[in-house]
Amino acid sequence: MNIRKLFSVRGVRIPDHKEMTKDLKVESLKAPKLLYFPMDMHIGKPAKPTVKVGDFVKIGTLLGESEGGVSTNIHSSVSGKVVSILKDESRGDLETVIIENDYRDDKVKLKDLDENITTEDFMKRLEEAGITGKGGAGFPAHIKYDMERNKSKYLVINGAECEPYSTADHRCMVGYANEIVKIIQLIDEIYEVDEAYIAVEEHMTESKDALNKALKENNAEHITLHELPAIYPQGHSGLQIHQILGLEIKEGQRSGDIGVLQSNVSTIKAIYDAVFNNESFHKRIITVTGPMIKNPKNLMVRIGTSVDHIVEACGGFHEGERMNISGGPMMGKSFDDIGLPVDKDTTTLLFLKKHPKEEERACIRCAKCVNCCPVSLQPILISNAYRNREYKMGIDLKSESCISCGICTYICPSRINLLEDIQKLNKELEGKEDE
Amino acid sequence: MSKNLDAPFIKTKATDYGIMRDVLIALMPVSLMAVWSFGIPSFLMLTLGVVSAVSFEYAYQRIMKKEVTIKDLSAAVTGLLIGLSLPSTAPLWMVVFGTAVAILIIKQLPGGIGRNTFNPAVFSRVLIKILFSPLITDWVLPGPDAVSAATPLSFIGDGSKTIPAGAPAFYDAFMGHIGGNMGEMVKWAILLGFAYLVIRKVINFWVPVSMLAGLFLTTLLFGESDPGFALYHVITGTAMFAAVFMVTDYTSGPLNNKARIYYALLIGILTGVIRYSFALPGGVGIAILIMNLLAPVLDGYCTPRVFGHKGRVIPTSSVLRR
Repeated sequence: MNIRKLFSVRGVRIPDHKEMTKDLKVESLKAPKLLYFPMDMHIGKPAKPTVKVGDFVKIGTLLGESEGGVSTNIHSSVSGKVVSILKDESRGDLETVIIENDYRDDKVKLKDLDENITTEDFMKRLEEAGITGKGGAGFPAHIKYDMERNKSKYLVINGAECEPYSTADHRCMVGYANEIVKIIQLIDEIYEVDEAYIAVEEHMTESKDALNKALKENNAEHITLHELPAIYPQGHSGLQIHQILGLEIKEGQRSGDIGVLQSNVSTIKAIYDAVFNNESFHKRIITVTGPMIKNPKNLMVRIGTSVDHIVEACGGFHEGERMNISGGPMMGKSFDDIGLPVDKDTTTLLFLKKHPKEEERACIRCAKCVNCCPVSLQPILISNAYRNREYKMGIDLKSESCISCGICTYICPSRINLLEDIQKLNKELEGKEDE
Repeated sequence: MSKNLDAPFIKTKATDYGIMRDVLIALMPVSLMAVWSFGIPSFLMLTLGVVSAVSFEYAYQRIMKKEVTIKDLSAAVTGLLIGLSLPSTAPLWMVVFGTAVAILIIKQLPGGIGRNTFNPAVFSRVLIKILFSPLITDWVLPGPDAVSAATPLSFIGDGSKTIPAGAPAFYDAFMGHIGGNMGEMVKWAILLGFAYLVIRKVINFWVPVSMLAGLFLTTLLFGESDPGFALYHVITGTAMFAAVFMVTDYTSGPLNNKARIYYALLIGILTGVIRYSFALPGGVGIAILIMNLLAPVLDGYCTPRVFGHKGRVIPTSSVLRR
């Protein structure tokens, strides 16, 4: 890491608490009796159920079919019987398929791929297997890989898990380094990629060592392991591409437009399973952690497993008021109902102590938000613009370029919720455009 | 999963009052050295500065039926700074007058913390100088006898280009064996406070350094390239104290790191010019006040380019300065 690069990195060092789980091997969690498959596990249109109550299913049986456009397939993660299909009117008639596990773990596999895999075959496989990108949005992978076909020069695999507490990707790299390297080699070939990178955080030595070993064993010297400093948010895709390749994704562009194909390590692992093992996307590694859970763990869980089953397997909760979060503490989402299932996007289940909300105090103009914003926004000015109803000013300040990383709210010593103001302003601006 | 958008769920440990507490801690070395040098009267002055500043803020907010914010410790910082920026011989009422101006007029009238254009301590100090000059320019050397002495700056201000004979030696100036205001004399104590603030990340290392560099370069230019003369300017007078504790003030300076460095550099240059052109020591204060007014301009000038955008739009509204 050269000095100049170190200075150009914007962001903050946040106590990462990864020590709770980073050395724990991934345990396979036994699937529960009942599993839940909401049809909206991804961004875009919900899938359409393809099974009826009473149907028998196996691991890999299609439960919900992609509705076309931005949508994706959903598969069963256990064998058993469809016992119910719920309709939730409060969520736009969202359908949830419920399956009773028969514990036989019968499987249906996808068809073998040809020896010479074309880009079409590859994309079709991602679509069939229902693979969605990690990173919260759950963007269907086949669409991403389609947009970027024929013009990809770089492949960037994101293993920089910058969110505090999360270690799922780290353990995925430790446990499946070989698989990750092999699938990268294959994608390199299919997409004729010029340069391939795996981004890791420099202090995660175990995953670094595992990948280095795998790279050597597979003679994959052309794949570069790129170490990023442990500064939040180094895992953000655009910033990471900028950091590694020096390319900047301009406003309105996607990474594909500048010739970069990017995937998260856990997505890449799912792609490996789909291509080499003919398995559809039905299980993933998650980190169950936080001060409120008795035995923090890294678990391989079947998609559709409810949170309460996972909590039970981790020894239950400590006494006290609790905050349940899906994802990391900076960009995750809180939820109250622990009966909800793990879906394709779930990376971390974090259980924090609930603290009373601190009252907002006056801004002292310390400008930490201004000087730490990774995309060089001026959060306090945007917040002022929102509160003064100066929407034009919000546009001038490029408030819509916010990546919602949460640093401004995290860092504010006066506890001003700057991110909330920015998001509210952006919502107002969106409304204006529609008119 | 149901989606409540209320991230982030963790907050930094740093708080506004924690930052002010750090500034108070950083001011301890100079305060202790002031009391060590000048004894009980100086202790009384500093205590009175803090107590009166906090009382004025409390009284104002109670009378105006506003939320009382003395717990943020910013009034205490202002009070202590005013005490430290006066010579030990200044009458006690002057401390009270200074804090009244700083807290009531400069800080609270525009709306309290974060809203003031001028640095309250600097403004009131400059006002005191203009109104009551003879009373506070009878400098005394440290020690129980209070021997009258001239501030070293009166030797080198007003167009002189070299250090004349009779001016205090470098070592004496650095160790504080010189005339001057209470807080500015013992340079190593100021540096101790500086180091603490940098380690605690309250201030940016380059801001005070830029201010002193600006002063050094300007006086180097005026002083016929004599580095000794320029350095003498840097370590005498209020320059170092102001660089660490006044130029770094959040509210009255710009926001952007880059703008803060230009701001400090310009204060240094302006100080050199004022010291050279006029017979007044105390150019630092006036330089800071001028730059306080220009801080939003610098912020606008230094508006960063947002990631992914080609150009930048310089905001030109009340949003910059509330």
